[in-house]
Amino acid sequence: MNGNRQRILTVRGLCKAYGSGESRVEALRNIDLDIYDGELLTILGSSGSGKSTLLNMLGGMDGFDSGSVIVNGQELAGLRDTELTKYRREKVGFVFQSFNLILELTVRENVALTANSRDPGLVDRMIAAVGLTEKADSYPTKLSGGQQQRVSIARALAKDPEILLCDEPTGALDSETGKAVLVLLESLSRDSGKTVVIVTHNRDISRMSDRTISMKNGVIVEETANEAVVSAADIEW
Amino acid sequence: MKGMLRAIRKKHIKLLASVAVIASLGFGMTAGLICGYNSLKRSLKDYVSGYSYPDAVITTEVTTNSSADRLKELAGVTACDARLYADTTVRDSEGKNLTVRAFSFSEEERQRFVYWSEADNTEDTVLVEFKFAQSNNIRAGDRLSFRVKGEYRDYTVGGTVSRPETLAAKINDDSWGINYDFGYVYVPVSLLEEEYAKDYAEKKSELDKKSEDLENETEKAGKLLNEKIKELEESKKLFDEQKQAFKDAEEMEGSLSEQREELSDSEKELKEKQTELEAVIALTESKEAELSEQYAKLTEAKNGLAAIKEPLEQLRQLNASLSDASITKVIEFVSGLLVDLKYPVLTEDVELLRTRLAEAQKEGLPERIDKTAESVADFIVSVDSEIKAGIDRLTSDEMREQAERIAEMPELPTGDSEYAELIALLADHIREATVSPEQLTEVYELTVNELTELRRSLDELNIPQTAAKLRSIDAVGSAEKLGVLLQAIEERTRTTDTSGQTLSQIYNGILKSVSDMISELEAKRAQILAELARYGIAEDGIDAALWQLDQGIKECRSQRTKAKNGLTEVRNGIGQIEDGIAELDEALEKLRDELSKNSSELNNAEKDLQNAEDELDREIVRALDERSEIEKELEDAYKLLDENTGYDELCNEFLLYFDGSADADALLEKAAASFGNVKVKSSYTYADSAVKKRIDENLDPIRTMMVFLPAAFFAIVLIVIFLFMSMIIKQSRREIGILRALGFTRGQVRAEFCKVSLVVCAAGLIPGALIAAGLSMYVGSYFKDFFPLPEFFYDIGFAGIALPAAATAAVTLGATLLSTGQISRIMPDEAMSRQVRASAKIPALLRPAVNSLRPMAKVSVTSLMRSKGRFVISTVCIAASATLILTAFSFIASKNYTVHQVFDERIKYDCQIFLEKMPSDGLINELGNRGYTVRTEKLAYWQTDISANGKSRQTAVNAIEENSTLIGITDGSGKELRVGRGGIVLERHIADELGVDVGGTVTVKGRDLTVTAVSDQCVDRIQYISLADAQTLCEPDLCCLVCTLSGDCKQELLTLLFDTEGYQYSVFTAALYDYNTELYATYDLAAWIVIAFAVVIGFVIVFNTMLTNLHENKKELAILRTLGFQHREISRSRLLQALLQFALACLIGFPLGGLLARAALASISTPLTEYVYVGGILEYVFTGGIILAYLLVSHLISMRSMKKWDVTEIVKDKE
Repeated sequence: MNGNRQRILTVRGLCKAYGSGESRVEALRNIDLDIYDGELLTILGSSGSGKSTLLNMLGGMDGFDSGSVIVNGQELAGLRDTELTKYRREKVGFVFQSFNLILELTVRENVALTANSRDPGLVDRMIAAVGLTEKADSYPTKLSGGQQQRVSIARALAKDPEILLCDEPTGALDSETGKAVLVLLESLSRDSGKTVVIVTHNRDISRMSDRTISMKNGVIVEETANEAVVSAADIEW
Repeated sequence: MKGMLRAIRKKHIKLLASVAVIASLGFGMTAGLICGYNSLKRSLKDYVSGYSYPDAVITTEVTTNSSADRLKELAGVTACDARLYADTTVRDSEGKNLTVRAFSFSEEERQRFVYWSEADNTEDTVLVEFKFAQSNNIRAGDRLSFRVKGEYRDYTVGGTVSRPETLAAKINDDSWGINYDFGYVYVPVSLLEEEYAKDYAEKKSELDKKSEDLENETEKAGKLLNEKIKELEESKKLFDEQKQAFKDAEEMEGSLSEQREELSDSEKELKEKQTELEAVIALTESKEAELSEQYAKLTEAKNGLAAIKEPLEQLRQLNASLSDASITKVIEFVSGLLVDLKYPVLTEDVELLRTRLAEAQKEGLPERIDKTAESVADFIVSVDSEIKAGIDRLTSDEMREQAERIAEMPELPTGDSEYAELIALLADHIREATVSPEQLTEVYELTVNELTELRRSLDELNIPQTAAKLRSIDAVGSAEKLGVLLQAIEERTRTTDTSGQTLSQIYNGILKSVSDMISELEAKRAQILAELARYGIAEDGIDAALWQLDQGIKECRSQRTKAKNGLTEVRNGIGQIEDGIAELDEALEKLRDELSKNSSELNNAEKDLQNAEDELDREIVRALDERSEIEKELEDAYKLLDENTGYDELCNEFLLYFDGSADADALLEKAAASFGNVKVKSSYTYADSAVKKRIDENLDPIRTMMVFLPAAFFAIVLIVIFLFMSMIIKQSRREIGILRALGFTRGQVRAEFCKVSLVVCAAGLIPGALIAAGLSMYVGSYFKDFFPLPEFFYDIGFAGIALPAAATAAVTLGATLLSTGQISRIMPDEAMSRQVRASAKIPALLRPAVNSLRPMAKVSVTSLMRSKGRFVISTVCIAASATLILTAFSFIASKNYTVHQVFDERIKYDCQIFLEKMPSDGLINELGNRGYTVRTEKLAYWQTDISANGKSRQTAVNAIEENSTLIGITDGSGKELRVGRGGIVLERHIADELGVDVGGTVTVKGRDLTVTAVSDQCVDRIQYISLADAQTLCEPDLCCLVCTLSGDCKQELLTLLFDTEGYQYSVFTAALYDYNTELYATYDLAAWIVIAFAVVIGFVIVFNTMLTNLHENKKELAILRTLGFQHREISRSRLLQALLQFALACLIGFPLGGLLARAALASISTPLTEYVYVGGILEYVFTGGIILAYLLVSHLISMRSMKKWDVTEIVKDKE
């Protein structure tokens, strides 16, 4: 499946634990994972499986205890904060479950936060890409959940990341709205060739991906290539 | 990060606005007050430093200006300005009289003035001191009329000037605030000097010379008169002595006469006494004779009775005994026996005796007789045998010896013839050697014994005894008869032919005689008793009567003896008296002669003395009259001279400048002494450093109010700003997380937030600067009026503006940087995630209690515990607010109390005027006529050291007339106090500080004074001593005129004083009150500013904290609402939190407020006046009320905002 594709992200022996003593939780235990350029990957798992933690590690949102994460040749382990920040800034686009928009900024301003200032039209293009041109000057509080999530996606894309990481992008949305978001993500992967990683607990959503990594209790229990990829538009949950 | 700034601002607009407001107010107030203070300080110092004070000033009565030249010649004096001044009245344009002190000034001095307005100084213009001009609405161009030589002449006001000396006096606490309503006016030299001074000085000098001459002459005349007086006195003394002597002599004459009288009287008395005594003697003699006669008679009677009694008794007994027949027989027998025993033939006698005895026995003789007879018989027998036996043994010589011995034996009853014969018989026997001596002795002894026995027996028969007794009876004249009888009996007993019958006859004869004798004796007795009965005396009363008579006789004798003794004494006394009288007569005669001689001499001497005295008096009166005339002339001349000047006291003032090395005090003394006869009114040194020091000292309390307190307050403001900014940043945690997640560096994030801080700073500092400017200008204008500063320099310096601004900015940015940095360090994921709020950590001890609470209460407690940090900070801020508010209120209350103590309690009159001399009666009367109630006190005031018990302290001392009542000063019991010589009344705090009490001793200027009372004036620290003591300790020169009056009649009083009497120096208590009122208004202003800011900032803090707290717990509260909890229940629980905060804030803030208030009061206290902390319940109530008010308002507003929540949306909101 991924034979033609280049491996852009390699995870080896990744471990992450939270807390200490009796309350220590091993969120990730010795994860090994490869992500390929342009693939649409789903990390599937129930609540507490470690999937969001894995995504945060991949996104440089948090540090890990051991192992390595190499993104396009750059090892994340041992990076200083500035380097990690730079990584987040340049290499990764993150879409949060709770959108995490700046409520006091308009859609355009939110998207512009990460946009390359040398390209003046980029923001509008990104907004247009997510179909929210008419809402460009609206505040997030005036948008629906789906719209907010699309803004979040636009913001993530505005930096032209190497990889787009989506943490439960439809978690806060209804099925219809969520589907729209998925369609967008799908198009980014299929049409734009972006590497998209979606973390979800919804198995139905995983049907749209090229590959599904199943996680349970902090370990990858299964890795399956999706033989019959379903279009996001056809996914029902 | 375009728009990020706006976003942050928008999100935290309220909080940021609050910070800006707090910053602006805090900065504004602090900077404003500090700038105001700095401006004041600069204005004062610049003003003072611009003026060159002289080193010393001497004020004299007017003299020529040559004095200045002379002073310049003194070593150490570098320059000397001379000017004139005079107190006078001028009329302003409106015709109002103004009392001024007019100074002439030289050109040099003009350079030293500080001008503050256009001053056109020409010969016709005068310059007015600016404060005075301000107060009296005098402007440049106005006309002032001066009285010159009795006429008013107009001068134009060229402008206003300022003298820093007045400023120095104004801010000099020791001066009690000299009121410059008595204004200073600077006039051209010509006005005072050229027209008057020279002429005046010359004329005055002439008058002085005349005065001096008068004094000299008076002195000479005085000496002469004194000598005469002395002589006269000596003569008087002598005369008095003589007179006294004469008087003594007269007294003596009188005394002697009296003595003679007394002696005569005594003689008379004694003679009378003598007569009495002689009468007594005669009487006692006759009485005694009478009594003796009676006694003799009675004694005779008694004796007679006594003489009769016994014999009578014996006779009766004898009679009785003689009547016994047996006895008769015995007598007969024994008689016979006796007779028989006379015969030498014994044997026969014995036989006879035996025979007779036998017969007697037969007849029944008593046993005794039997025995006797028997024994006699035995005796005779024995004797016979013995004699017979012994006789043979005796030699004739021995017998003779025995016989002689026996004859000589005293035991022999030699008076009894019968024994004598018996013995003789024996002796014959012995001589005839019929018995041995021993035998004879033995026989004799036996014989004697037997004879003795026999005699006893015979005696018992009473015959010899009877005979003896009979012989003894002599009293009744029967002695012869008895004697004859006895003799007869005796003869009969001796004769041999005496027979028993004869004896019986004799016996019977005896019986009859006895019976006759008895009758006779009884008759005699009866006679005596009858005689006694005639005198009423019974037989058994004889002794008593005799005793009485004896007593009577003794008494008579005693009286007589006494009388005789007395008579002797009296006669002696009469003799002495007669001698004494004779002596007295002689002395009196001599004395009278002398008296009459001296009397006439004395009269003459007295007359002479009187004449001399009268003459001397006349001479003295003449001299005094002459002097009075001359004095009057001089006085009139002086008065005329003064009147012509138009001034009451034209004085010279010499401003001296010394070189740096000179001893100013010594040089001043020398300069003052150089004036000679010209009177020096005052002299004092001036030290710039002292003036500046005074400025600093008086700025200290202002600095406390305007710098330190605001600085403390500002520190709190900065803390609040820091906390608020930190809070804002922490509330932006999510945004920071997002930005960090999006790849913004920490620096970029910090920069963005710093922009926010800068905006806030600007928003705070710019208005703050405006507030500061406005406040400092307001304060400046206030001080400009308060101090006589013509100009006020605003000092907006580093300390005032830049420092607080920099501090504000630094704190704001610092908080931002710190908080942003902290949060930026958190991983984006964590930062963005819903903050897992820290669980409320309930201490184990409280857990059971908390768990037992109702849900609402539990939510409140847990939310409190969760945000305890903010709660604590908020509480501390409220406490700080409470502290400041309480400090300010307490300060105001304490200051008001002190003012009340000093003015309302202490000063119960309208004005108090200090004069240089006692007001005349005329003035007092005039004041009385105008309706003033006046009293005067001579007093003095100065600062000195007072010490006791090894401790020393500088304090103010007032000296008043002895036994004057200290106005308004009492001891703890409310009793008004007086001060006497050698005593001191101490103020209570001073007394406590020195450790003395009433009766203790303190030392003032080396003099020990006794503490006579301790006053309860705890704020007005003045000690009181008597003027008499003060006059030896310092130079009291003030008189106090105390007036009670109504209305504002200050000016009238001044005019009256000045026009009528020309008093030099005056201070009004009203001015003191006004002066201090302004000062206190300053303090009040500062305090109210602090209160205002504390309230506003406290409110802002509380309000924002409450809102933040509400916001933090929005979700919980919304859930509670959805669960059915009422708004009021939630409101109540939050109100309880607010009240808890209130309680804690008061607990912390009140004690701190008290301490801070005390510190503030201490900083404005002076050695003269202590501001006492009197924090009462009211201040606490006000403070608590204000804090509670803004807590409640904040609570209400926050609760009202809560009412607007859409709880369902809040509950749904996951973020």
